[in-house]
Amino acid sequence: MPVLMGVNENRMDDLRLFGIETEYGITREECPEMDAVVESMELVRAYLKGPFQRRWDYHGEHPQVDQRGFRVSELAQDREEALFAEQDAHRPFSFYEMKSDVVLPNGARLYNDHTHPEYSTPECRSLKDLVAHDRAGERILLAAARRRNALLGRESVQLYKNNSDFQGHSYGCHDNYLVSRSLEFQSLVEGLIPFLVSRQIIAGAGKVGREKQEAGYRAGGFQLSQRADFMEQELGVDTMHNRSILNTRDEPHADRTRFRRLHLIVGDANMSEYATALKVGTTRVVLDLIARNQAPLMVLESPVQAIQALSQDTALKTLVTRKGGQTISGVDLQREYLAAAHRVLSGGDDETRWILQEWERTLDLLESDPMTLVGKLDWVTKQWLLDTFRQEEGLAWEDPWLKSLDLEYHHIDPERGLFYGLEAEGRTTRLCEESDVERAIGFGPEDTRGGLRGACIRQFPQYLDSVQWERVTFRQGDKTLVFEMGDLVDPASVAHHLGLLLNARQPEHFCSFV
Amino acid sequence: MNQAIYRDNISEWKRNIVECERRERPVDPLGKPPGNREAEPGPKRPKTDSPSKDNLMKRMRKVDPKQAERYRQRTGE
Repeated sequence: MPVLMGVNENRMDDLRLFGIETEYGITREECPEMDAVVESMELVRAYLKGPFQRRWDYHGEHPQVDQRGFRVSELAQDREEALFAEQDAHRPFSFYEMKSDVVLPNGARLYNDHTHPEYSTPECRSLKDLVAHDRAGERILLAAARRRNALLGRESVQLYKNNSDFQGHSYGCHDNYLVSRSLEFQSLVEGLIPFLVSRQIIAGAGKVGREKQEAGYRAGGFQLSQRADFMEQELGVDTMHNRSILNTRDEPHADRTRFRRLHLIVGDANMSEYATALKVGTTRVVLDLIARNQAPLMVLESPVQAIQALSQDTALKTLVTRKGGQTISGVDLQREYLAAAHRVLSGGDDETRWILQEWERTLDLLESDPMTLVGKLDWVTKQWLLDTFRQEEGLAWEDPWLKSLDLEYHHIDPERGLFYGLEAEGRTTRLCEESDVERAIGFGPEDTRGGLRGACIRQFPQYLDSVQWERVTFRQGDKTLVFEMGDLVDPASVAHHLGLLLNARQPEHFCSFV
Repeated sequence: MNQAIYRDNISEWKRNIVECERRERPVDPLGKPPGNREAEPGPKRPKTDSPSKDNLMKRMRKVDPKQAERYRQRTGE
């Protein structure tokens, strides 16, 4: 069997696991000075049918550990977090109560992360599952908001799937990928940076104006990305300050000796299913290229400058400089990767063929007729909506109304959101059916440990002691039972365990004893 | 059993995504842009005579122009 960069080629499909974590913006319309800690906590709890029970197991969360082989003594946000902790101390809640971390029957995680309700999808193996679970997250948050508003007696709480408050505060939508530990991190750096710098031309969610981290907002213009303004370095472990194009956090949430988790914080939250699928699909393809040592060798002179320059040019004509002085456009950077993928991965499985086909079609249309991508790419769609409105109302791009419309594009209530307005008219490209989303609300993917985690929640709620990404712990009488999933990645093993789990009457029938 | 599930998933994927996309042809959702904007780069302004777009415009006009001014979040990740 061929072994490429230490990865057995025949097992590479097993490593196709990815997920998305999205922090939502939250506000109470009649109460701009709301307590965001309490509101996010109450929102999560509103989704629960019973009282909150602390179940999330925080072991395995080490945000200071760096993929480059060291551990930082503190993160840039630690001082600010300590200050917030002081401010939070007056509230009658413990840290864990404020987090209100819950695991859902579909294997997803829902909690209050830094005052933002965050939904982390279960691990998915196919783009179709991922898109359905990302949408399921929107529906779950929407249901939580409606229940919370019913309790408040008014339509107060509003949720936005975006990444900026237009005042210099950003919150993330992180895409995550399982990668073999045998891949040197440096090869990921070399292979990914130019790709990630230019990925926004496909996956950007669009933004009115410009921002700088906690330094405010400058009105005017429209750019491709919500997050590009907040990228301050090429590599780094921080996520709330000094954000980097390639985050180096080494938190695999799996067997550390076998796996890495690529934790990307550079991306925008997408409303469009098509953009979500292309964002994650093209990234997965590039990871396949890197594993085969077939990624294009390109080094950019200044990646941070490049990502911001590309974001600010919706005409896509801006050239960025490569080491050695040659220049290249964002579209051509993407075409370099696409060409390598065609050369190496053509003739692959259906999903890979779909990715390559749509990637190429999208790049072609961006250059020839971008209007045809309305309803597919978020930045194109948003720019079209806002520019149409701007011209009808005679507004300048600096007008604050456009900023409000930008925000409303991301409102997750179908009765209000502008993207959803377009979708109601059948003008967006959907990749899953509503029935897929409904199923994803209740069940995880059957071919990943996310599905197993969800099945544990549904099957044995009375025995649950704690849950996290790698394991579920049950308490049955005086016995502690641990279901380990840290190295459970291949679909055959997952199916085997799922069969055992669904047929078990008690956890001890499928767990190992501790 | 697992192989069967996996095959079903692929078939479903093909049916719902690959074949659906193959049927689809790129179309301008709201027609060609007006002539004098043809030369401008980037997405073009569409025609504005579609009744369904009027609904979208209505939805957009309902948005409070000051809404984003009041919107403030703590820094997240």
